[in-house]
Formats: sequence, structure tokens, C-alpha cells
Amino acid sequence: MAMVTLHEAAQRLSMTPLQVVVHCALHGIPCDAGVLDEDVLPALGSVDVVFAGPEEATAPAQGLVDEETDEERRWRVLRRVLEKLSGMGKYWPSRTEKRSAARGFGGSDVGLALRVVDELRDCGLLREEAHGGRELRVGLERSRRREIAEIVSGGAIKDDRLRAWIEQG
Amino acid sequence: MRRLTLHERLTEILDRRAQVDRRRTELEAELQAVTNNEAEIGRRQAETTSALEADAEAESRSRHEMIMAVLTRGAAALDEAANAWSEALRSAVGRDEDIIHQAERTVREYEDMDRRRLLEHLPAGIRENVERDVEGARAALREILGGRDPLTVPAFVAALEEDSALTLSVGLPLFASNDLAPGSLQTAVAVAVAEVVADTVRSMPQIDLASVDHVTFAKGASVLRLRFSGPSPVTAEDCAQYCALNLTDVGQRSPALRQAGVSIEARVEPDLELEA
Repeated sequence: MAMVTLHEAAQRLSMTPLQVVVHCALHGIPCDAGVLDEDVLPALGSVDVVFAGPEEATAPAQGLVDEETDEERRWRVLRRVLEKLSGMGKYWPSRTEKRSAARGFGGSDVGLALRVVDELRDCGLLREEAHGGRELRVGLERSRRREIAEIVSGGAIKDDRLRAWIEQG
Repeated sequence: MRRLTLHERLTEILDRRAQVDRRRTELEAELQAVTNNEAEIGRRQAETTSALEADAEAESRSRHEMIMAVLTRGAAALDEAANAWSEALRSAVGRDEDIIHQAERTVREYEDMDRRRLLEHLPAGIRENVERDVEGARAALREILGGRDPLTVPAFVAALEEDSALTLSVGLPLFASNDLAPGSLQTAVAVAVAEVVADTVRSMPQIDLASVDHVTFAKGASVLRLRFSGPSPVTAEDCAQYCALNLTDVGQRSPALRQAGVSIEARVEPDLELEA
């Protein structure tokens, strides 16, 4: 895993180091130490913001839904769930209610978002624990941050099981 | 008899016409006076308007100069503190977290008692003990912070709606030349500020963020400018207040800033159109 300083990242992205730090915060990518995994750099090139609130509009336009295949839909919801959790900084031990991961999705996508969470857990990209014996809480696996950032930025899915689930359902 | 009556009527009519002419002349004179007065009022109004504009411009310029000076001083103070903030000190601070918390609490409680004029009611012996304790706490903090006192750095926030789109500006005491090196105090400040900025963006999911610009000034100020694709879902002032309150609060919430003894005091300004 190659690490780059904020200064190097800024040069590669044609930004100032402060802009890099702000983009990291917007994407939920930790850079407290002043260094970054160079694989997350492509994700910093945009100003897409990861929202955590219930007001967000995560469903695509109706026309897009009509044209969307099941595989595209699973891919879209997967990216959105990962964007949301990483944007909230929910890398284990930081965690949130499982239902929060599905909050803000359109009615038809809520069930799929919860299935995505289960799939991520089964693939080891996410941890789950029972809070107070009842409420399930989830957090992303910190050691697989790079892999998660790649998926969020539209890169390939490295995990075979997750890729198979996206392709075949 | 009839001729005389006609003559009288004619005289009457001529008199009335003369009166009407006189009145017309008077009214025309009044009208001219009013017109002249109107022109004078217009001239005075234009003079007053331009004087007000000049005052506003001068006020704005002096406000910008003041902001620039405050940020420049803040950047210099931050640099000075950063020099004392070596990697070795960071490690030492990590071990001394309990001491920091205890010392901060002692100083805070002392300052609170001082503000409420409670110290003067204490018996002399107890007051001496309290003052000795607070001096000890301040010395411990100075030692842990590399020989300096806790530092409060300034920040300014402005939110404007132009062309039905929101622009949020945050003025920071960071030199343009700063690379935000790993482990540096400036990096800790930048990361904390970025978290607040991102939180402010997330608090307005109704509008999209279009760009993040960073304007730097040679003197030592940096302005982050975030442009959104639509008007603020709350008032622009509320948006600025939210960001400023969180910036002021982040010094207490960020473990890195707490360890470094750095806090931020943010203020809302009408605009941050600083000139180099």
C-alpha cells in the first residue's frame, strides 16, 4: 500500500493541500496523519458529497430506473451504501444503526440496501454487532478502506463473492 | 342702461383675466422654484448616496484589512506554536493526556471563579493554595505544549447568495506555502476545519456542492470558497452561523487540537472578498 503526503496528493490532483483535506472530509476518507493511500486519489477528484441524512435523494431519475438492469441497481445501491457509511466516517470501531445504512433510499431500494449491508458483512467489508442486545450496529472494516474507496470511486470490485453477488444477485 | 351694464361686465371680465394672469405668473414662479429645489434635492441626494457608498467602501476595505491582519497574526502564531510542536512532543502529549485534562480543568475552574468574583471571598490561605495550583497547572500545560500557552486561532465565515446560488467562504490562518506536512500542527487544524466544512455541506442535502476553491494570500490568509448549485435551504446567515459555531466548537471536540492546546474562534462576516 503506497502512501503519499498531502503535498504529493495535491500536486497529483492539481489542488492545494487544504483542498485535498477538504475533499477527503467530504468523501469520509481519514487523513488525520497527513498521509493518504494513493489508491484513494481518484475518488478525490470530484466534489460528490456523501450525505448521511434522511432527506437525501438516492433514487435515480424515473427514466433511469426504467432502463436500469438488476445488476446496475445492485451496483448503484452498493456504491451508495458504501459512500454513505464512509462519508459518515463509520469505520470500525465507529459504527451506526444498521437501518441508518438504508435511510434515505427510495422505498423500492430500502430492502436492497439492507441486503447490501448483509452482503458486505458476509464479504468481510463490514462488521455488525448487536447493540444492547437488540439494535444491530454496523461499521466498515478499516483494514479494507482502500478497497471500499475504489468501489465508491467506481473502480472494480476485488472481492470475488461481492462481485458474484452484484453480477448474479 | 344696457350699454353701461355691458361695460361693467367687460371691465369685470378684464379684471378677472388680469387676476388670472397674475396668478399664473405667480404659479409659474412657484413651479420654477420647486423645480430648482427639486434639482437641488436631487444633487444633494446624489452627493449623499456617493458619500454613503464611499463610506461603505472604506468600511469594507478597512474590515478586509482588519481580517487580513488578524489572519496573518493567527498564521504567524500557529507557525510559532507548530515549531514547538515536534513529533517527540506529540508522543509525549499522548502519554500525558490525563495531566492535560486535569491541568485544563484546574485552569478553567480558576478562570470561572475569577469571572464570578468568588476568589475574593475565599479565606487567604485557601486562595493562595488555589492560585498555587493554577500556576502549577499553567506551567504543566506550557511544558507539555513545548513551552507555550494554549493558543486560540481566528477564523472567519461568510455566506452569500449570488445569482440564486450559495457561496460559503471560510477564512483561515494558514500560509499559502504550508504543505500540511504529516504530523504538523497546521495539518491538525486543517483536518479539523475540513470536518466542520464537510459537516456544513452535509447539513444542506437539498443543494449540490459545485466546487471547492482555495484562495491564498501572500500575507498569510487562506480562504476556502465552496460554491453550491442552488440557494441555501436555510438563510445564508444561518448557514454561516452553523459553520462558525462548529468551528469554534471543534477545538474542544477534536482530540488532536485538544492535545495541541489549540482552539479556534470563528466569527461571521458579511463577506470575505479579501484583496491581496
